[in-house]
Amino acid sequence: MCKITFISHDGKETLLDKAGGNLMEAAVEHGIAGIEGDCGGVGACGTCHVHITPEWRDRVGPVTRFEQEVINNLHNNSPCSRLGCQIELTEKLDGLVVRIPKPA
Amino acid sequence: MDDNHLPANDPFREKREAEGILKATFQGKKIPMILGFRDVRAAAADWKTFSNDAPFRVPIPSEEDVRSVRQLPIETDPPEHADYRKIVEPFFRQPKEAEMVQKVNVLIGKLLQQATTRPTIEIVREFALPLQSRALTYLLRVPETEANEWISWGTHVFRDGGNGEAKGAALERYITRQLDRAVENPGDDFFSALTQAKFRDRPLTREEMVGFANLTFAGGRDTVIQTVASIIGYLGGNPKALETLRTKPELINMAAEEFFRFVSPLTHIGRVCSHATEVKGMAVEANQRISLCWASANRDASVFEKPDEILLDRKPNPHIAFGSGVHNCLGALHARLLTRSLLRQLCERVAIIKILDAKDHVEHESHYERRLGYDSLVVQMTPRNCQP
Repeated sequence: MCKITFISHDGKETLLDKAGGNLMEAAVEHGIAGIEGDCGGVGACGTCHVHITPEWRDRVGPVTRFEQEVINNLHNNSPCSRLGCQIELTEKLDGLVVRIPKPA
Repeated sequence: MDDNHLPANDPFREKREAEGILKATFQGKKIPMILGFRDVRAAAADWKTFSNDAPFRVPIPSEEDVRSVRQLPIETDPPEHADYRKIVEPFFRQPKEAEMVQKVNVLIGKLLQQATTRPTIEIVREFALPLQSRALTYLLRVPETEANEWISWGTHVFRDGGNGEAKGAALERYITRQLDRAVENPGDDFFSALTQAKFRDRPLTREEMVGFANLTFAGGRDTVIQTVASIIGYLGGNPKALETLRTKPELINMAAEEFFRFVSPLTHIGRVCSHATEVKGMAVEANQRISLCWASANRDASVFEKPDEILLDRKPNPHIAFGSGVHNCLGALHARLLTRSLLRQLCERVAIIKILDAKDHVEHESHYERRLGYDSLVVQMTPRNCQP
């Protein structure tokens, strides 16, 4: 379990104290606006698109090829883009800060 | 039917792997089909070249003969597309709401209860069609009794028997009646919302309202029906898969996505080239159509390991059965809710699905034949409490 801060596109911050599973599941469970997880986490829908702040990118790990291909087709993608469903929340991510891109 | 029978085939593999394109002809017109996953995705994203701003010509075959209006929002491009889509999106996001989930669960529970108490049931018309139509009444917030008329339209609003032109005209008359009723007696339903909606600060025209409703009835109909029938057919032919899902319910979501990938119930969709271009080395003229072949892309072995197998725990599964890019399927959440609920309740309520007779549904085209789902699927469903 770890602490995660979500920052919406208009700057609103939401802190989850004890988040587990993957980032998408944690966000959906707590009703974080802008993260939908429509496909349930198989990487088909891209509705769990987040931006990882630069200081966390190394710890979150590299994007996979399939994930990058999904990201390439998403609105507001950037080198910081990840799919929340592909980020498992382990102890090393305690304190993680993610931004939710502005929707199309 | 043998245990390995699968509910869809892949007639595109050879061309996909050799050339990435199938030079096909539909209604006498050359329409190159893009086959590879990455090529399809790239073309779907490039709406400036491969445009949706083409009334009647996005579906293949084209639909000039069966409707009089541009379907909205799909037959538009950004930025108009986003503004049109926003008008109806709240209705299509309802499957996220607990009330909608509960209603669909109850509906599928009832349908399965009826199915398991009958000696036999024909799945396509006696189960999947009523399921799709009744569930759509929840999405559109209209009385469930409306589904009785929708069911009478068959598995496809234009192309399920009868005269397509007459069927299309009947659909438009129905929509007009509903819109007239909504003006007279507005409620919180889809038609009332259309009559009150604004597009960029102006009311929708009647033609636009009919265009939204036309897509709502035409899309997500045969596709949902064939996905539902395919799931039941597959689980009937592969009882171990039903058992696996029963013992591992955490696989339900993944299994649903895998059925969407495998069945890819919308084989392909059209785009119109806004200027002369090239597709996999083939010159394409301005105003010529191309096809984005979702079904082929979803069997691309460079993306999907063992693409011709149904892997209930496939993950990742970046399929594009619901399309890709800004024009992706509005009804995807609804389809997901239906299939997940169906799988969950099949596990809970049905011990064995015995297939008694199956007639494959086959798309016969000049350059390929694609089998997907069934024209008819007669099964016997044994309820779990009757297990010997």
